[in-house]
Amino acid sequence: MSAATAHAPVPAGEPIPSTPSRMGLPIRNGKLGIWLFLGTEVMFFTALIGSLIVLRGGSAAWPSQETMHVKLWAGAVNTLVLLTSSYFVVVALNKLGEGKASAARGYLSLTLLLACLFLGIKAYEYSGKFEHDLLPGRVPETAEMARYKVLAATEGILADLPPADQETVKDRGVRDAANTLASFIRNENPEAPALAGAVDSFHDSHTGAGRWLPEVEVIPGANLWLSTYFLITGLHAVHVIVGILLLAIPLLAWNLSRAWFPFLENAALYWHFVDLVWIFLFPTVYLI
Amino acid sequence: MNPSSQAPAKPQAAADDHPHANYLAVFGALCALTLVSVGFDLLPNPPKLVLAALVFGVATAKAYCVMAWFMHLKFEGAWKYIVLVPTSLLGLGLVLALLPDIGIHYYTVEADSDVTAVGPVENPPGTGVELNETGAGE
Repeated sequence: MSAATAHAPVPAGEPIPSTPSRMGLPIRNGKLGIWLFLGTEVMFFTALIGSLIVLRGGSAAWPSQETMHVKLWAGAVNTLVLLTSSYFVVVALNKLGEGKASAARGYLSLTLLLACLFLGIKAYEYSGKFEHDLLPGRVPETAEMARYKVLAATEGILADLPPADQETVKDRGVRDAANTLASFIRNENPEAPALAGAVDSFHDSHTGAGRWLPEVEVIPGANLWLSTYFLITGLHAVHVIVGILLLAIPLLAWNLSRAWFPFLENAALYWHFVDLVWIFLFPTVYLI
Repeated sequence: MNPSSQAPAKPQAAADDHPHANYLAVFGALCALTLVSVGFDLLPNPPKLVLAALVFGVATAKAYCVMAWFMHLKFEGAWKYIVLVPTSLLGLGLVLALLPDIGIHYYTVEADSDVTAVGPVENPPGTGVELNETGAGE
C-alpha cells in the first residue's frame, strides 16, 4: 500500500482501511543491539566531555597544558594510532567478508598491537602525572594549601625517623632540618616562592637521605582539571580494554570464517566508537 | 565460541550486503586532518575561542569521516536517525542544563592565586599536621 493510498480521505461511514504492520528495523538484531548500546555511549561521553568544557568555562582558573605536563606529541601520536587501528579493523572486516580469514586475522592482530601501543603511551602519560604528584586533591591551589601540604610531609618525615637514642648523625641532621622547616612555615607564613626555596634547601642538604618533600607548585584550578582528566581519559581507556577483548575473540577463534562477519561487524562498530570519542578528547585535553 | 548460534540465519548474506568504500582515502584524510589540528595549535598566540572553533571543526569533520565510511552510516537507512538523534540531544541536554549555573553565571569567580597574609598557619583539627614547637608530631 502506497503512502498516498494509505492517507487518502475516508468518506464518512466507510471503515478505516487497515495497513499491514511491520515490526522492527531493516537490520540484524545484533546490529540494532550494538547501535542502541552505542546510543547510550553517545549520551555518556557527550555528557562527560561537555561537562568538562562547561566546567572549564565556568572555572575561575584553568591551568595550561605546559603546567600540567601534557605532552602534545603523545596525544597526536595516540590519535594517529587509534585512527590507524580503525582503518585496520574496517579492512579486516572487508577481508573477512571476502572470505580471506587469514588476512582478516593479520589485520586484527595489527589492530590489537596498536591498541596496546595506545594504552602504553597513555600509561607513560599517567606515570608523568604520578611522578609530579599531579593527582586529584593533591595539588595546592593557594599558598596556604602549599604550606599545609609541606607541613604534613614534614610531619611524615619526623614520624618515620628512629627514636632519638637510635638515630644516626644523618638522621639527626634530617630531624633538625625538618624542625627548622616546620618552624619557618608556622612562624613566617611564607609565600609560595619562599616555601619552594626552603623545600629546595632541605633537599640540597639531605641529598641521598631518602627523605623527600613534595614539589611546591601552586596551580589554581589544577584539582578540577585533574579530576576531569583522569575520569574521562580513564573511562576511555577502559573502553579500549573492552574493545581489545571483543576483537581478540574472533582473532583467537580457530574457525574464523565468514560466519563470524556479524560478530566482527559489531565489534568493529564498537572500536570505531572508541576512536570517535578520542577524536573529541584530543582537542579538548591537548589543544585548547 | 561459535557465533553461528547467535548470528542471523545467513551470516554470509550480511557479508555480501556489506558496503565498500575507499577506506585508504578516508584514512589519509583522517591523518591529514589530525595534522591540520596540530598545526592550528602551533599557531602563534591564537585567540582561545578561535582555536577552539578551529580544532573542534576539524574534529567534527574527522568524526563525520569515521561515522560515514568506517561505521558505514552513509550506507544505512533512516533508522540511524531514530537511534542517534534522540541520544545526541539528550547528551547535549545535560551540558546545556549545566550552563546557567556553571558556565555562564552572572557573578564573577576569582581564583585566589595571589598569596594573601592569613596569619600564622593554624593547624585545623583533623588535618594531621599538628606540630609542636620542636617539630615532633603530636
